[in-house]
Amino acid sequence: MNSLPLWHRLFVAAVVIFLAAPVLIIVGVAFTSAEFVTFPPRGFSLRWFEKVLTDAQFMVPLWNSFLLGVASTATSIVLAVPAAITLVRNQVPMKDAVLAFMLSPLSLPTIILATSLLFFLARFGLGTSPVGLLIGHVIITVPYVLRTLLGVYAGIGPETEEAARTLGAGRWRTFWHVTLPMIRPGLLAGGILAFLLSFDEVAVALLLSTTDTTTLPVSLLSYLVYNYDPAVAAISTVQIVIVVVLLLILERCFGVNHLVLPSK
Amino acid sequence: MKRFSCALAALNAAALIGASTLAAMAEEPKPEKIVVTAYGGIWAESVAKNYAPCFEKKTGVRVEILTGESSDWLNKVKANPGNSPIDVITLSELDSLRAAKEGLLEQLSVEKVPNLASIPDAFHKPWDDYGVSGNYGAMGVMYNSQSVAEPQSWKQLIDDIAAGKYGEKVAWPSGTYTWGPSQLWWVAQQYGGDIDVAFEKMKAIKPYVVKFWTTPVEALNLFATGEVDVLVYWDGRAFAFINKGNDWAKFSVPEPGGVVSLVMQSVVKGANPIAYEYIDCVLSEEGQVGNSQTMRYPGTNSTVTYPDDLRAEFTPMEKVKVPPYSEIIDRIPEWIERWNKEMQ
Amino acid sequence: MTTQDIQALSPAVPTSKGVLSRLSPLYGLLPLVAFLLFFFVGPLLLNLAESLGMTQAGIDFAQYRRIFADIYYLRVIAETIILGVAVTVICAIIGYPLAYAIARSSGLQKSLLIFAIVIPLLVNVVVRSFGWMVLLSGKGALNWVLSSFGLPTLSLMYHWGGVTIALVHVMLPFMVLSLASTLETLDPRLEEAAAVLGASRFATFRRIVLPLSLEGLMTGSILVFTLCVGSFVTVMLLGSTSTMVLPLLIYQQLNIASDWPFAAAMGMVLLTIVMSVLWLQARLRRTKWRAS
Repeated sequence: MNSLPLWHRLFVAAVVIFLAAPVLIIVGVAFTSAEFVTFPPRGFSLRWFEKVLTDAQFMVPLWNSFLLGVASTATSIVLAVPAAITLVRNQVPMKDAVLAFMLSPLSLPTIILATSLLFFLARFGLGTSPVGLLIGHVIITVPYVLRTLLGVYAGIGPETEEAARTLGAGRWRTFWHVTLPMIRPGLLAGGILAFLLSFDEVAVALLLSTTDTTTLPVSLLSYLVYNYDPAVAAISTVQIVIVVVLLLILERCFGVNHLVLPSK
Repeated sequence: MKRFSCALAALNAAALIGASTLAAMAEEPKPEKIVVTAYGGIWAESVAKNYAPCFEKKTGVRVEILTGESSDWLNKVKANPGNSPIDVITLSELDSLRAAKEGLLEQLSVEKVPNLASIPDAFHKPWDDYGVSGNYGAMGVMYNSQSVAEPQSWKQLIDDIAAGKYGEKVAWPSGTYTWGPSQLWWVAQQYGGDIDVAFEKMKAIKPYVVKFWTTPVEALNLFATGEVDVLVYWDGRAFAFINKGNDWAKFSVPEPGGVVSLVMQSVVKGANPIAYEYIDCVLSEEGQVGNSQTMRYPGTNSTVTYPDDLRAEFTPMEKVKVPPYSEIIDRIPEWIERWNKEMQ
Repeated sequence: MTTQDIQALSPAVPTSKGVLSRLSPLYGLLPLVAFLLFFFVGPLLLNLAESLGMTQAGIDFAQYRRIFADIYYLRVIAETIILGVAVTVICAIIGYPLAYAIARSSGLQKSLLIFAIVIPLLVNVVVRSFGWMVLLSGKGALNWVLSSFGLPTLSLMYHWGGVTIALVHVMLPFMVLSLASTLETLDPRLEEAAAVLGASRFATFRRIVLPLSLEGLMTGSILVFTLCVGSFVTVMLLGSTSTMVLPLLIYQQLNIASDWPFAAAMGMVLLTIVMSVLWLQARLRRTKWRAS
């Protein structure tokens, strides 16, 4: 990045400020002592953190959301990776149609999806089951994983994989040692998007969750409709911290450069 | 080794979240429970503090609270007939009528819910006893007493806003807010019940309305930050704000009174009959006073006496009006469409 | 598929073994296709049936007539698409330099940039919208800064302006991550070679970087557009009655008017629009490839 011209670096700085501004406001508000969210913030206090961290109304859903996010991401990856590889490397009849079909969940507004899914799943006794909730989230997250994977995989020629096969590597060995490392940027980008989407998804969760599976966005939304105090900002800050910690662990384990950069 | 320590780090992070969750959960789940619904935040807190203990004391059965919105709960019950995830459901006035029509609710009676006898007809009879409201909130005006005077009547208020007397510092409920159509109906009542005039008036005040609000919290945000001086709002929520040291804010219900919002409590068809006990708790003296103290909304039980400070805030029953929902329910989609088209 | 079609196909797949060997490379598609056929198409058909009033006898297009015979709904549809296109284009323009910077940086700097990109996604949409209210409202932070510099204040709330800003903010991560992951696969030596051969920065970008990152640009645009035309909370909180979009109408019909058939019909319309855009994009891309 240091090789980039000055205007480019300034531009990047400006966009980063733009991205961070509203979120910084929220984090700032979480530390105020005021009962309401105002600008400029007044007074410093940790009372709102104390409130949310000891409140089952927030903490239980936070844990649920975390589990659901991990499960949806993992399921999406398992479904999307073979599909992406097949789409790119094989002669798939009506490829455009198949692809459009696989991406089509993106285009159905989630409230419509949620309503019809609730009535559909209820016919199979899944209307109140955690599995139903997971299915709903995977429908939403899988197109993102698939699309980001395709974006990366389509740009990689088949030569490396062919070489591996020629040298005697089996299908699975080729996949593990050649294909997977090559598509890692797409996998991580898609995985991060999928996790964050699931973590923040509200329409499907509203209709398919029960008292045992309430997610954070659901409890946050119902709290927000009737209360507007910095508790909401505090739990959002906690949410941010958790994701940052997750990203840090990812980075520690897989190395900074591997987070998005393909191994060459 | 690196992999291992990473797994360890991940486990630790998970355990930390898990541990704080457990600490927050505190009590052990019992096998038997009923699921009741409540709006989030303070509403759910009030249920946990005022209704649930009464019920648990009486029956020994635990109460679990499902937060959300009326239409979500209705859909959950509708989608899972015979296997409802909810036992006692709280619905908006319109959703309650819809649910009763679809046969999703049990009819209440004085035998099953003794306290129902002390509830005025207006709060359950129009619903044919398929639901009863434990409290009511009146739509009035919260205003900044440092810059504007108390509005006397709805007609006067509307004319003054349209004449620019309050400047561009007004927030009014949108026709597309859950109780927007009710407020629209109330405006029409000020002009002989003519809905066309109500729309005319709304168009007349539009240039001075910062936002026709769609959620109570955005409305309060506008008022609290000084974006608006006049906010058409619910009494209980207004007093909750005023009591938090915001003396500059005042609330009043202009003549001839305000339209009310109700929280219709119903037993879902097929629920354990023990659920009636819960509704009885909602309507009991303990439930009514407790909920009023938490929510600043008056209860509907006419035999209950309240502390003076609470009574002073309540909008008396004579000043409130329950719209004839069974008559207007079929017109509401048309009003919403008209609002979208005409108010832009 | 008619019986003739099946007959026309059958000579090509004479034995069961033949079928298997023909299909085996497509096994990878099976899990996802099966999953979506059941759990996505199932509810979708339910929704379609609802929009056509098929719970009663016969098919009724009344809900669709309600939409297409009314200039108001047609205008809302048009504005929904325009908003989607505008946000996509703005995201592409703002996002590209950012994605490029990510692709060309390394180490801590890169991690920080990636983190900065996903920041908007870390906060719930409602909370985020309130953040924007604090920033953009009449007495908000932006105007506070402007007026302390003696500049005229802006009113961005409750117009398309504020809605667009907030949408670009939350859609940008999708664009940048998609772009960055393709730009990563681009060998920097290509650009170096172009520079050595005397190409200007702009020419290198236009002739080498941009064409090779088209796939990422497409990915990002699809994600941003589809997400954008489907979102309503931001529009509801930061907009007004004059900033109406299709998903917000759907929300109203479901939650306030309790009219699922009408909401279902609008949902099908929205789905059709987005599917056509996806198809058009696939078409365009193919003709472009053929041309080059």
